[in-house]
Amino acid sequence: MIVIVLPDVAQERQLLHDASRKSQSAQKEIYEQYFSPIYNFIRLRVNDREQARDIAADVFLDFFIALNKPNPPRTSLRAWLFRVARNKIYDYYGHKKQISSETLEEWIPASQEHNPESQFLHDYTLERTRRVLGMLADDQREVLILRFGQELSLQETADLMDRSVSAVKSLQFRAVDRLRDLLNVKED
Amino acid sequence: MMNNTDIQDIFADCVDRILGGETLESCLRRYPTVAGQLRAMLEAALPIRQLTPSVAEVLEDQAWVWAQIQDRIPSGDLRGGEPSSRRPFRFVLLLAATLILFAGVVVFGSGLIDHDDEVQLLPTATVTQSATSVSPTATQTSTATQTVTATTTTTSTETVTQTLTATETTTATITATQTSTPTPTATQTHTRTPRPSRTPSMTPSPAPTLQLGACGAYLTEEEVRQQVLAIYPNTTITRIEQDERYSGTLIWEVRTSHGVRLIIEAECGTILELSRSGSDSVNSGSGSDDNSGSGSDNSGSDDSDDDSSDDHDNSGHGGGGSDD
Repeated sequence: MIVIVLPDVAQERQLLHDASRKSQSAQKEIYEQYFSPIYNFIRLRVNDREQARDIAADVFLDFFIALNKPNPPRTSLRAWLFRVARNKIYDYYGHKKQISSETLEEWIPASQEHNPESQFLHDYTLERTRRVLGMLADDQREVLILRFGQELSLQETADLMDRSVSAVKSLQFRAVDRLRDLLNVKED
Repeated sequence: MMNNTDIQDIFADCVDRILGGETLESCLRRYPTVAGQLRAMLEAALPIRQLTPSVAEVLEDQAWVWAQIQDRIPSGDLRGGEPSSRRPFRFVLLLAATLILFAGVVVFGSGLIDHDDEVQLLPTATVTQSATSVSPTATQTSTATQTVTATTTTTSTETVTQTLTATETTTATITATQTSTPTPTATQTHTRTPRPSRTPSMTPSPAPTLQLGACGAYLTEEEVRQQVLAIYPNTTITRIEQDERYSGTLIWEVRTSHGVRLIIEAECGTILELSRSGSDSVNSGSGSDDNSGSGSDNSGSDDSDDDSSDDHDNSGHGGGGSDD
């Protein structure tokens, strides 16, 4: 049996319902619940922090505007937000033809609370992963960010990337294989 | 012999299990024949989960973006009520409607005294209409209608007083109570008056957790304390004091038990500095961002890249078609 952590659909629908009725607390709750994953997703792909937060602002602005339209998002809010974020990232890079391979150069390690002994190894591993992730092809990097960074399900990732589930399985496998090669991790 | 699809399925299964909370070792035990390959791949990929920006960065940008959204959505939907600039106009409307109601009651009340019951039904309809137009401002009308009660009591009978306690539809019941059977109509109006559906939007929520963009009265020590605890719920505040910085800007300096030091602008609640003890300031310059972003246009976004202004106008909600 496969166990996947999915968002609480009933709660999400109720939040959306309340938010579309201009409940400030619901709107704020949605924002606080989804800002971090959306921002992280953008930040993993956009090097410039100011640009990343501008894109995040655009994503949520679109969301709040969409709430006032005749057909506001009613289900799968997470997928909706990620899709808009993804499109905006492509809009941002559209003029540059390709996503920068240096998007993770200024990334800041998340953990600052570990003890000093383990901190070095931890930071070193993250640093290597960060560098190698930036060397992957864009679709490979994206599938890894969505699956491992954002913990989206196969189906959600497939929907977002406009691919079939089996294609995403294959893509993530190839991506990790390539990542492993670059990291030069030895097999047992 | 295992084909490529099998190992891809196994790998995908293991990823799902681990993301769902299962341990790496537990998953490897399920597939002993490919455990070595699986381990190498999973150990390569799993650190990606920890690639997140610092908490301080996320919190700061979360507050910044929220302030931007509030500035850029004109309806004020996110502010817990309408913009304050509309409130005086609404109050004037309310006052005018109350005066009409008052005049109607007085004129109608005097008519009731001069004449007798039969002819008095028509005026009530018009007065009731003006009252219902005020209905969205239900909570604010209470004081005004009390005045009405005072004046009519002097001229009318006790039944009028009783029904006027119900706010908007009082005049409709005046005629009914004149007919010496006050009780049924009185209860009807009481059941109609409470309209709680509008009230929440009229009262701003007291302390949104990251409401850092709304400038107004200077933040009190308690408000600052609440804001900081909303950001760092697992900490305690060890020191909080007010000071002047940056050429006369009134600020609150807050220190927490986790060694975090925040400089918060007292007027707008903007976090100007955020640092940990033993390290340099985690972020600086957010104050200038907030200042530049406080207008209606998004001035902060166009600084670094000429393309960005186009990007803001392109919502691009379609499928994207940009997978390549």
